[in-house]
Amino acid sequence: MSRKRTQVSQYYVIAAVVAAELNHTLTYCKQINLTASNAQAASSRVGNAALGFKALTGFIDDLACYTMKAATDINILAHKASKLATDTARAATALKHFEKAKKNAREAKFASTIAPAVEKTSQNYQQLQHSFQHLINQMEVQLHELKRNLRTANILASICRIEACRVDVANQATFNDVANRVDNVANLIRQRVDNAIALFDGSSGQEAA
Amino acid sequence: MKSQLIVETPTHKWIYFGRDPEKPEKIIDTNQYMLVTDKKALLMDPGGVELFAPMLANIVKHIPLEQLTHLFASHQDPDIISSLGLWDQTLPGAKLYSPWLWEGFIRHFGMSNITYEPIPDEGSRLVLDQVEIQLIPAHYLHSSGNMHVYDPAARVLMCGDVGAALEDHDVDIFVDDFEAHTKKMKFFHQRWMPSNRAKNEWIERVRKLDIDFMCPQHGRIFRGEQVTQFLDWFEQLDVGKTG
Repeated sequence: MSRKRTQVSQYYVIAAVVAAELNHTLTYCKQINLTASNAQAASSRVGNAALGFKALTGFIDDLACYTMKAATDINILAHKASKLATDTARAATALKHFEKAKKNAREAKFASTIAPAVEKTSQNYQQLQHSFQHLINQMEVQLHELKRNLRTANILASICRIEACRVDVANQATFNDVANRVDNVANLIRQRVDNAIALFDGSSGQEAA
Repeated sequence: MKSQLIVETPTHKWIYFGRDPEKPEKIIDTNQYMLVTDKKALLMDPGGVELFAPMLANIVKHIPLEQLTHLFASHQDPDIISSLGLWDQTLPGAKLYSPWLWEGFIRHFGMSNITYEPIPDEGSRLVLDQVEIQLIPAHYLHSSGNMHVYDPAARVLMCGDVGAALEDHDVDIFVDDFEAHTKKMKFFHQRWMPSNRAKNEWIERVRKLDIDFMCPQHGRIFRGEQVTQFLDWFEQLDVGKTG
């Protein structure tokens, strides 16, 4: 049980750090949203030559919305995980104290009456452990999925650059700037997501060790 | 941890718990009391987290755990009730009686199963089997919402921090030399009790009670004449002082 306890206390911290990392991504998503709005305005000014680019701004916007939703969903899981970790730690502490009491009460007339409380807390602990592990796995899967979807950002940025070639030189800089911003912000988000994933990988490594 | 019968009547008994030799050095020594009736029991000021295991081990020397149905916390301090989160998992069907003022605070110790029974400012009564006890106000002694337990049948007053003394954990549980004992009580009362007015109101209230045993949460139990001696000493003591 002590290994499991360590695991929970590690994940306790991990859940909080993941929530913090994903909080940053929400700010970045807002930046992408703003970039998409600016790009849409710019393409309207340019006219027909920028029709292809204008269509792309919708995809950029969709990507930002998807990322924001995914980050929010994972954040909700992280908060649930933190709460479950607290309950698990509380049950583990109670079990530790029960063990101590049982040891000291060996000769006590009613020593056996502690058993139902121990049994119930032990069951509760197992159930919390199971729910917690399930939640952590879910978080990890969703983080990987988010990372996979972020590849779309690079594709969109590349297509933006191609579309930029279709407009006159004066407007090319504006469209290339949109492509660069999408690339940069997507990289920043990916970095945060990688940080979050690395926390899980690190903890698995420690467990294996 | 020591546990000792204080008084027994045909309907119930009072048991003392404390003087735990395994208590971590830097935490204050505390006294816990349990009133046991035919089928129920009330544990008063159950203590801090560090005391939970020795308390549990000692309680089952006297009663089966399912008989412990009621808890009482005179106020919100950690040495009084920080073990609540553990009792909550041990006695999910129990009721906790404590001043209404502290409910939102005490729940921070972790309480999802036990029922909180808020005691109004003016106090209230509690019946365990055929035994009726009184929950009497002791506000600002020292906590702003503070209650004591009076048992008129056994003539016992569980007086929380009033009558507390700071001394070693291995001393006797009863006061022997009252004069000598005042030296161990003076600083505690002057520093922790904030109000002379609250003190005098409490003394006036308590002088009307018939008390054989006055049981504080720290230090030693007063018996017989020592109760009046204590009230006289406390009355002349100027409290709410830092120096």
